[in-house]
Amino acid sequence: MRILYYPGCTVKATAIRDEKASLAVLEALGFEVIEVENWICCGAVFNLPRDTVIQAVAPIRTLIRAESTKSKHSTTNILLTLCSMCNHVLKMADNLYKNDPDAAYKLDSYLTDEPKYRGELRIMHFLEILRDLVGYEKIREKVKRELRGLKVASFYGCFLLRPREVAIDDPEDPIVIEEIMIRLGADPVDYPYRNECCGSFNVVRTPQHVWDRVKDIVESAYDYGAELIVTTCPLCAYNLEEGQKKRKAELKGCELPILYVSELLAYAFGMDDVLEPEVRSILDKMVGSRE
Amino acid sequence: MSMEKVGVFVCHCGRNIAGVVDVKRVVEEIKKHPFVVYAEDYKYMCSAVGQNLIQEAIKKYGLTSIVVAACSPSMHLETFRTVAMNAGLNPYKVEMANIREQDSWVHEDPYEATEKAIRLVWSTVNKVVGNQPLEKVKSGVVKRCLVIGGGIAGIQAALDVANNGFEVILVEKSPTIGGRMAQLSETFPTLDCAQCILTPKMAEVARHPNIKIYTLSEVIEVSGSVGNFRVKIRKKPRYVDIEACNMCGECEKVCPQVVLDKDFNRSLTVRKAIYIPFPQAVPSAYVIDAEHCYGVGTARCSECVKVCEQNAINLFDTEEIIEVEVGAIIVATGYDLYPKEKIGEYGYGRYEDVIDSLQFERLISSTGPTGGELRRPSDGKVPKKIAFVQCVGSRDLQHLPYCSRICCMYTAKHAFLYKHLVPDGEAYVFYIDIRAGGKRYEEFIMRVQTESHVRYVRGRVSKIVQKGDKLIVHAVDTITGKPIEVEVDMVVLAMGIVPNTKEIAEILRIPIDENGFLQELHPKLAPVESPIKGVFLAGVAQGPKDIQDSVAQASAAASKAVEILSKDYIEKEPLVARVNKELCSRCGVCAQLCPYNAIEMTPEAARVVEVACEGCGTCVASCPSNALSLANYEPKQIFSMVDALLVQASAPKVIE
Repeated sequence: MRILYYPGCTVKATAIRDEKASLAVLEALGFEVIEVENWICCGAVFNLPRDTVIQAVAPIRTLIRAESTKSKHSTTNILLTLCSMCNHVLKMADNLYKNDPDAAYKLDSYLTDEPKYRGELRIMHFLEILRDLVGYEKIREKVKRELRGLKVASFYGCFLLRPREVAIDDPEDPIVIEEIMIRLGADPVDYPYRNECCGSFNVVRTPQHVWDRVKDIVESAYDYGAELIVTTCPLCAYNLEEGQKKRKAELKGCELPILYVSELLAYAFGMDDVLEPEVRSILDKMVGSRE
Repeated sequence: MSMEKVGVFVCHCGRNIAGVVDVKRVVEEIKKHPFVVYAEDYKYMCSAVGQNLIQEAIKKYGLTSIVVAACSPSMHLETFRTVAMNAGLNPYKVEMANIREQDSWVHEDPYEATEKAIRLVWSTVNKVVGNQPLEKVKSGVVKRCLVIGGGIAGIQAALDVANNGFEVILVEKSPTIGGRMAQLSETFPTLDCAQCILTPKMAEVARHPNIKIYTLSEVIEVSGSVGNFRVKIRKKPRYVDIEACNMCGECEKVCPQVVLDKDFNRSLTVRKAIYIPFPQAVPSAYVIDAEHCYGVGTARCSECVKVCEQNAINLFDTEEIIEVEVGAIIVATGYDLYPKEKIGEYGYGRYEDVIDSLQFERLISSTGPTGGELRRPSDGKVPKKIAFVQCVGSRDLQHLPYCSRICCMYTAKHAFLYKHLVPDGEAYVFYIDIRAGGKRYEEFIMRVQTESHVRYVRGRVSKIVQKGDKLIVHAVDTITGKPIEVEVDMVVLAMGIVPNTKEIAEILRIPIDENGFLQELHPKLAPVESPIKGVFLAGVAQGPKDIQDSVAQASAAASKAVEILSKDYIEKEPLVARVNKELCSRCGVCAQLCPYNAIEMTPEAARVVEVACEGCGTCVASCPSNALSLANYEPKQIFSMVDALLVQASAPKVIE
């Protein structure tokens, strides 16, 4: 299946690990991924005030370019996103355009240098593609190396789940990452902080809030027996990594490695070459010790 | 019709009508109507003087019909019909033209308003000349009442009707009457023990010669109408003979099957497959839970049968369908708590020590699984710190938009009782605001807050998480504006309440509101009547209410039912649908659409049960063969009314 792909800035920079693993996993599952031509930053946050639409201009511009790419490369209308925030922002902008005629008119007026937005794309996060287009059982079939007994704490963060209109799963009780982990042979940990916010952009102005939250999240995951945390959000991954360093003293040795869901998939599929050596060695140590 | 002599009486209603409508001109114009022989206006037609004036005119001019142009017929049609009857005129030859609510009150331009009044009156005169003189419809009454639901509302209603000397059939789906109230520990604001005040009433029902109780039973079909309902009841097998069982309990001792007590003790403890829900259950007899018993229908186990000295157990007991006729029905089907599973953020189902309000009632009840000692479900420890969360599901647009009304009070009661059971414990109540609008309710809240030192925190709880053997309540204190975290041993969720009405509303064809509660006839002036004549509502099935209000409403419903049962016959408006048998194809569309169950299909044609018909016209509009019509709303009359409304203005408007 030929699908469109919007990487976003972070995935091309700090989270390149996630891209490498995700694209390799999708290829193994039979997808041909076409990157949107001339994509730009999504804006990274969708502002909620109703009286301004300016922050929807960039994501809609990207969506227009995705539509052009679609015609040019005759792909399906599925637009893949890896980053939770990009997924959130693109879906929110698309919703705004489709449900608010006044906003759509304003956006059209800003975007006279592009073809008109047709709104024909189906924006899907990596996890949605795995759940809805691939199916858990097909994932299971591809597993070459079981993550037997690996205690995985899923961290959804907030952008995958909120607001309800763009949530990829039940915001209060999400299950998609756990379902995938079970298919990889791992043992998901049900801990209460898995759908909490990591603190997000507060890391810029009031980082201590973020470090406090990270401490609570990691501590809880650890208490419930987790050996590592997986996420799909580059900002969550960054905050969790940094927070553990900043709160090392309070955490008293209960720090956990932070990996992407895609990395566990790639590892289970036996695609060692797409993984960073550190990631591979972490997993080798954890999984290997049980073999 | 050529003999018709119509009199028109135009009311000023003080300045209400005359302030806008030129009533004199209406009188002058209507005199031009070919059937109008007399017309006049008066300041207040509904006054004794006005009524007298109409009576005199009827006699003096030999009027055959009258039209009163005044307010809405819902206000005074009965008044003027009585006036007409006193003057020897058939009351159905009286019509009202509403020139107040539909004209003077909603228009400002006197000229236009007067023009409209003339048309409205003219149109009403056109109708009244086509009216047939009718007689009220009469039918007999079955002197028996059906009460659906054996909770406190159903119990009260059954007792009231029975004490008025009428037979009552009380239908309850569970093995005992008593309902939710039987599960409660104490009741607010007086702190009476719930069972102490409920069980005497249950016992009274049990021994009342006029009340027949059907437990494990459900109403499955209702046909007929007020005064003459035909009801089918499905009675599930109990497997134990109520008369023979002497409650010795030997059967329970030998029963090998241990089952989670999901109903009465809300999964906090276990019972056997043969059990009694609670010691004071009515009827006072054991019951077999067929779902979990090994021996039902097969006698594979039969341990209980072997030990029963009374020979009361029959493992081959079968379902029965009982048919009864009743004159009136009271619906009191009560409520359930909103499913906690729907509120994932509070961790119900994940954390054993997050419980709902009814579970808490069982935990502190002396008949409960812990014998009234408060111990938390997970490890049996006494919770030293406890949080009560109000408005769980209620007043939440993602769940229930309405206020469940009882939670503020029962949470205060819970906190109070907690402090009595655990004097050194700390109790937190998280609330949006406190609604204590009942007699001595506010005083009770004050008592709990001050005397008992319960900490009331104004703010909603965002999430409950478990950490070790503690629960952490994340909330916001909206008075300080700060997020807070409280570590507690146990959390009680004050779940919103949802009605049990889905099936019964369909069977009785009572409309339900957007939240599933049974719709009353009028929210203020007819709160216990349903739109179906002879069907009355009591308790939470109609809307959230506490025990006090449920009992009051049950008594009101009973008195409404008695009003019907005490009559020798039912009399009602004859403005009903009629069937032209020659045109009817028996397709049955009308019978399905009739909101009042007033149409029966006979082998020849559809038949209107006149006593049930409300004259709404739904069937008339739906009939594909035009076989139905409505008395005094014949097509000819309607078209003549429309014609009058659509004529040119009687005089060109003067432009000033």
